[in-house]
Order: sequence, then C-alpha cells, then structure tokens
Amino acid sequence: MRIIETKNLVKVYTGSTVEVRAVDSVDLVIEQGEFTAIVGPSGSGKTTLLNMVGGLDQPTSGEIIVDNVDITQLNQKQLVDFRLKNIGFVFQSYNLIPVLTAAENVSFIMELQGRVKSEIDTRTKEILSDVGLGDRLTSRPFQLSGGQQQRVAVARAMASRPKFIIADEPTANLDSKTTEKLLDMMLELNEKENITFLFSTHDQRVVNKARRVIVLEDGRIVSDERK
Amino acid sequence: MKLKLAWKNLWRNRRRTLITVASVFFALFFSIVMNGYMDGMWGQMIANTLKTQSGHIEIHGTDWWDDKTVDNFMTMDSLAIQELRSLSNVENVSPRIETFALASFGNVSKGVALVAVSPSQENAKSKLSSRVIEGKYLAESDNGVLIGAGLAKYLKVSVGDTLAFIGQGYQGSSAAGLFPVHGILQLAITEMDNSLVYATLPAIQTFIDMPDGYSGILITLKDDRSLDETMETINSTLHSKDYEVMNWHFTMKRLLQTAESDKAFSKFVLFILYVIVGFGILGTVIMLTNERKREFRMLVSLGMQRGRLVATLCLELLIMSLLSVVSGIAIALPLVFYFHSHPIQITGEMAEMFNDLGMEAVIPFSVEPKIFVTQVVIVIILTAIAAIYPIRKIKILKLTEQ
Ligand SMILES: Nc1ncnc2c1ncn2[C@@H]1O[C@H](COP(=O)(O)OP(=O)(O)O)[C@@H](O)[C@H]1O
Ligand SMILES: [Mg+2]
Repeated sequence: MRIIETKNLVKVYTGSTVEVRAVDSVDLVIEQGEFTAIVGPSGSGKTTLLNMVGGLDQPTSGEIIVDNVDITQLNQKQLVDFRLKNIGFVFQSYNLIPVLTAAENVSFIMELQGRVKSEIDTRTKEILSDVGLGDRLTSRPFQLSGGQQQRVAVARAMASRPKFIIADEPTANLDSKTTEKLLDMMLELNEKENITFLFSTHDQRVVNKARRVIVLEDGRIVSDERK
Repeated sequence: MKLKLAWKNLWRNRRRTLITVASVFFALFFSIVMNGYMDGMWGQMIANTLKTQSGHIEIHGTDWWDDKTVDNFMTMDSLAIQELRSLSNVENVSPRIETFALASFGNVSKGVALVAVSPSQENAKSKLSSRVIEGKYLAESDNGVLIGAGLAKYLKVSVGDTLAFIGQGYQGSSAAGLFPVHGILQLAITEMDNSLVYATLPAIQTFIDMPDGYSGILITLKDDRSLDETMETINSTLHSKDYEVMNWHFTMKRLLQTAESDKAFSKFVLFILYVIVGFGILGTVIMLTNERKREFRMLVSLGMQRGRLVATLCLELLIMSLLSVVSGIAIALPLVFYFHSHPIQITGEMAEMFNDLGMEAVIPFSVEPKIFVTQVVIVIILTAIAAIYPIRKIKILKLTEQ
C-alpha cells in the first residue's frame, strides 16, 4: 500500500543573487511499513524534503499525496490537523516538553487527538516499555540522557499509530553506541507495529540499518536501493 | 491538560514568576489601600459637611441661588415645614436665614454674616454650643446673638454689650435693630471667627420684617442612596413654583471638585505605578515567549493548533495575574476593613478644624466594592495587553527555521 507519493516535487529558494533548487524534481513512493533512510551530504536537501513531506513546508511546485489527499492543497489549520492525525515526528533536538514527565510527553499528542484517558494510559505504558523506559514514566526530560530523550520522542511519535514517522537526523546528537541502540529500537517497533519510518542521516551505521536507502545530491535522487 | 501544562509552565522560571507576581501584588495592594484612604477621607468629609454644615437637599426661593438678596427669600408656614419633617427619609429639616448686615458698637462698624437658626436644632446638627467660650448659648426665642471671638475683638464688645445692626429688609425696606451679645464663639476658621453672627429665627425675621421668611431650608437625609426619590417627594409635597429644590451634587459642586482634584494626584501616582508594573509584566512575557520559541515550533509541528497554543499561554498568564490579584486582595481586604471599622484618628490642627465644624476627627477607610473591582480589571487589562506579544509571535511563527 502506498503511504506517500511525491510527484515532481520542487523547492526553490530565491536569494538576492542565486537561486537554490533545494529539492529538484523528486518523484518518490513510500510503501506501508518501509524503513527508509534518506542520505546525502549536508545541503543536499534532506531536511527540505522531509519538511515538505511532513507538511511543515510548502513546495514551490509538485504534489505530495498522502492517503489520496494532495497535502499541498491544504490550508495552515488543515495541515496542523493532518499532522496531528497522520504523522509522527522525531526532531534532532528540543524534542520534548521540559515541564512534562516522559509519560505526559507521550500522552500529550493522544490527548490533543482527543482519545479517551484509559486508552491513553495503557498505550503510554506499553510504548514506553517497548522503548525500554518502562521504569522512567515519571522522569522529566532533564533527568534523562540524550538517548533516552530521543527514545521518549520515538515513543511519542509511535504512540498514536500514525501513518508514518518522519525523523530528521534523529541521531545527530547521540554517540555511536546510543545511536545503534535507538536504531535497533526503531527497527523493532517498525517490525512489531508495521509503522512506516522515513528518516534522514549522514551516519553510515544508521544507513546500514535501513531497509531502503535513498541518496540525495543537490536536491535530486541519485540512487534508491531496497535491501 | 491545558490547565496542567499552563500551571507547570508558570513555574519554569520560578523566580521570575514570583517577582512578577510580587510586583503586581504590590501595585494592587497599594492601590486598594490608597483608594480606600482617599475615598474614605473625602467620603467622610462630604458626609460630615452634609450632616453638620449644609444638607443633602436645599430649598430656596426661585431666584435666590443666583441673586442672594433678601427680596429673593422664600416664605413657608410652619405647617408646611412640619410636613417636610414627616417625610420618611428625612432626618433633619433646618430652616435658616443667611444674610449680611453692618454691625456697630460705639464708633466701630463692620460688615458681618448673619446666620439665623433654631438654636436647639443647630446644636443637634453641629454642636455649636460647645464653641461658646464666654457667656451662654442661645435660647429658642432669644433676641440676643452669638459672635465670633475675632469679631468681638475687632468691635471691642464683650458679653452683655448691645450691638446695632443695619441691613436690608424685605421688599426694599431697611432693617435696623439692637441685639445684646449673649455669647462669644471660638471658631477655627479665621474668616468665620472674624465675621460670623448667630441669632434666632424670630429675631431676624422681625429684623428684616418678613414673618415666616427664610433664605433657605436645609434638609439632611437618613439615606443618601434614595436622594432622587426624596427630591421628587419633596417637589410634589411643595407643589409650588415659588421654590427651587437642589441636591448636594449641585450645591456642593466646589467641594466635590476639590475632592476630585485631590484624588487626581493619587490617581496619577497609581497610574505611574501601574505603567511600571505593566512594563514588568510585558518584560516577563517577552522573555518567556522568546525562550520558548523552539518549543512552540515543536508543538505546532506535532499538531497543536496555534489557537490552542495561544489559549494555553493565555491561561498561564491569567493564572499569574489571578495569583497576584487574589493575594493582593487577600492581604488588602482585612486591612481596609480594619481601618473602616477602626478609623484613623486625625491629630493636630486638622483635628481641631474637624471638631469645630462639628465633625469627628477620624478617617474611616472606604470599602466600596468599586475600588477592588477597578484594580482587578486594571491588572487583567495589563495582562491582556502584554499577551498581545506572544499571540502575535505564535501567529507568525515559522515551522522550518532552525
Ligand atoms: N530557508 C532557506 N532559505 C534559503 N536557502 C535554504 C533554506 N533552507 C535550506 N536552504 C538551502 O537549501 C539547500 C538544502 O538544504 P537542507 O534541506 O537543509 O539540506 P540538508 O538537510 O541535506 O543538509 C541548502 O543549499 C540550503 O542552503
Ligand atoms: Mg538537514
């Protein structure tokens, strides 16, 4: 099943002197359950592409179809709602609400979605123990290590079972051991709950874990391999 | 959840929140106490003046207010006066004559202000008899006079001497009479001490040749809140075009203006205070907004509508101002209520003057709900103005900036 399809996706930044084609004619199809890494050197357009697919940024031209809906046609409010219902996000940093506990951070999105309390509680406990933090429910972000914080962020993204999860360099601030652990955990969840992951990285160890690797160069897809 | 998040966010920077709350608390507390004092003082001053000096309502002849001559005096028979006394909200009805005359003793003369009253009623109103320092107070149908000590000194008269008065009588006649000095008064206000003469009504009515004649009738009420209704009742009781009925908002315009300009200064001080506090709130809100920009971006990215984010933030600011308001009122309320029931005693010259005017030398604080409500509204408005900044920032927040 097709989760995401982009058609001739273009993003042009027009500066005072030069024009940057940050994403250039990208046609991309992501299937349900895929675990895809977008790789490429810095400035190759990974963030721009993920932001557009995640509905955080508008393309200059082209279509992004999710679930038969071209999300480039949605207005600001509809986009917020679309993200809430369909997409999980893991950012590089500043991922958690500092005043809330790990469990509250995970529950937060489900509460915004208007789910019932009992369901939220059960799911929060389940997903946090899936990421190995079953005993840290009441810890606040500052009491957790960077790797643990990213695991809470992944748990939060997973909690409401979105159509797909977007993670822009989720391991950029982690050491290699923690990086491996986070990736293994993401893979496990991907297999267990069949949730689609689309993440960017320039870390070779992360690339090795991916099931599909898309290479970007100057905003264009130069290779796309499934393992 | 919104409330919980707002509450937790409020204490992210505990010290800053406490400083902000404390500054608003202080302004609110200070304003309530200051307003309670000023309103209380002027309220007391006006109430006292109404009770002892003038009245809530005055009745005059139609032209008297603009041209205070004897020819514009009114007449009213005792039956009609009795009828006014029987009205339900009426406490005191005091017919009087206020006019001018030339007083002479030996070869010294001086213009004096002549006030004719019912001695017993005037005493009930302003405790005039306590000001007698020599001689004795007037009896009801006395034809003697009481004069200010300053005047007595000027005219070189003492108790037992007889003064000659020349003045204007009714309808162009001239009035002349001899009045023995029965007592000398010590009056605190120098102007009054130097020129005031008290006499009885029958004596002066004879002097000006106008039986049942008065310059006006002062009426004090039991309850000022039904001033308008009582005015109407009086108007319909009198049903005559010969009278003009005025209330104190009109007759004491000048005192009211003095009160307003005196209060204006303290209002200005409070205004400055609130401007400072307002900038304090704004500073806190600006810092708080800029600190959380990345977090706001994250929340909207995850799927929180900007409106909800704004609502959470406004809730946080509302809690902050309510904390100040509630604590401010909680401390100020008992204090002003205490000074309401245990008024501050005035001392010194001011106290003397109050006593001379027949007033109690105390300042009870005002506990009008209006004072509290106004301060609360001001704080809420200041907070609302400060909230414009984050509302605007959240509205234009870009999600893709790093
Ligand atoms: N807001 C922006 N304005 C102008 N140019 C931008 C902006 N964002 C990104 N770019 C440019 O677009 C290109 C792709 O950037 P980005 O998507 O961040 O690459 P990556 O994430 O792969 O490092 C870069 O050349 C970058 O300089
Ligand atoms: Mg990037």
